Amino acid sequence: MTAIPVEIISRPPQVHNAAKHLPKQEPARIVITSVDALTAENVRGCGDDNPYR
Amino acid sequence: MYQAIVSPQEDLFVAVRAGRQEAMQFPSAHYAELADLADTDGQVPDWFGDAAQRAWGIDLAGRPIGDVLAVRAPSILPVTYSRASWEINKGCNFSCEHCYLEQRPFAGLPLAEKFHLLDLLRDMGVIWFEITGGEPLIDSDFVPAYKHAHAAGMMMEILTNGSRLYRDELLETFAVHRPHKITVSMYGASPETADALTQTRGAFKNAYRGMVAAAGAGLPIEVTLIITKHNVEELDEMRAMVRDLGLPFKEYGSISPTYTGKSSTLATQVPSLIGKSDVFQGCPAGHTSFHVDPLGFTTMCKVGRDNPINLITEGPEGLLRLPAIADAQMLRTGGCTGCKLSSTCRVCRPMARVYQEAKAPLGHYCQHGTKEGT
Repeated sequence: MTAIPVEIISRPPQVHNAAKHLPKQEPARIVITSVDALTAENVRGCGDDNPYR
Repeated sequence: MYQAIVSPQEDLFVAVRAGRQEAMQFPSAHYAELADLADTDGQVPDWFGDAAQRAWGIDLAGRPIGDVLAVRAPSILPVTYSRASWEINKGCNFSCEHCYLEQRPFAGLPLAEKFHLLDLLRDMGVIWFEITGGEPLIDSDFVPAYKHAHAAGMMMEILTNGSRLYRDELLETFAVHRPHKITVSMYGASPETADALTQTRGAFKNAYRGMVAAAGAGLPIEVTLIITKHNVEELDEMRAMVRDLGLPFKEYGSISPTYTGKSSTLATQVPSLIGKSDVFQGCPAGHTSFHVDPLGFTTMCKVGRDNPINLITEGPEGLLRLPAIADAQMLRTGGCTGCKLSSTCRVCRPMARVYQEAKAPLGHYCQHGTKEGT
């Protein structure tokens, strides 16, 4: 437990969180893409601010 | 050894190759064809061989799939994740003052349970997998655990201080079972500086030797320059050394409290580097990724460690609770209710809580520490 007062406000969940459950459209054929594009929805948000992410 | 991984990833079907940024995405029918061919000792079809040639410059067409591709099965579990990180052991052979771990005990699962944990991650669909510590390369089970995860078809990333990278067993392991990335933290450009910062005699010599050996072996190394008040005067030399090795690097100058809310680390912060972080844009931790500690307790990430779930005893079904646990941590405001600057915060809520618990000066993490009248 934290001694810090905690209050829940109406800040919506992060967009990435909700996006996980959105159905994605399949490509019609094989597509050459990038690791960055494939992992956009699972890379942690602290990104370049946290060397130990 | 396989040349590429073919796998479901959440609701995508992908092919990836360790160390390469280029990747493939294809329709489910293509994945099914590759899976069927793998099950029947078939050969790489021309369409995949052509794509592999274009993406990675390798010739796979007509070769036995079992020799060159790791074709992963879809997860049949009620909970799936594509990314995970794992502290194999919090023990470390360095003693850095800025370390985010307040305590670094040498403790972890027995090897058989490590294998079981890795099998669970595989069955949940984890492809992007980071092994960290502590210093992961000093764990006596690192090599068999790494090989086990690699054989499961995971894109492996290792976070290390580099001090053991020169050892033949590790170089040979990484040369044969190639990681996607090895990230080496660098703490100075001289023995005097790096050994003092890490409070470890020989730290610089061993870490630099490791980087040279790994670079010479052609391993996919990325260097992280950790900037503290102890080494900031050598920053230009650190950059030059890494450039001379031909390695990419990133710089980090934002020192956090320990993740248990202790402020002892903040004394190492370079004041001029406070507030240089990008605006926080959201985070899917707990939804598409998670973190596992040395004993198998699972949390949304390394920072937000509320309500850990014992993955060993509860199994993957336990992680059905994780998204809600993550959201609860991301929605905490900790006294920031109504703040007009919240949309441009530079830290996530779990990290802000760490700063608050450490009673850190506002200027380390909050715009109210640097702006007036807001």
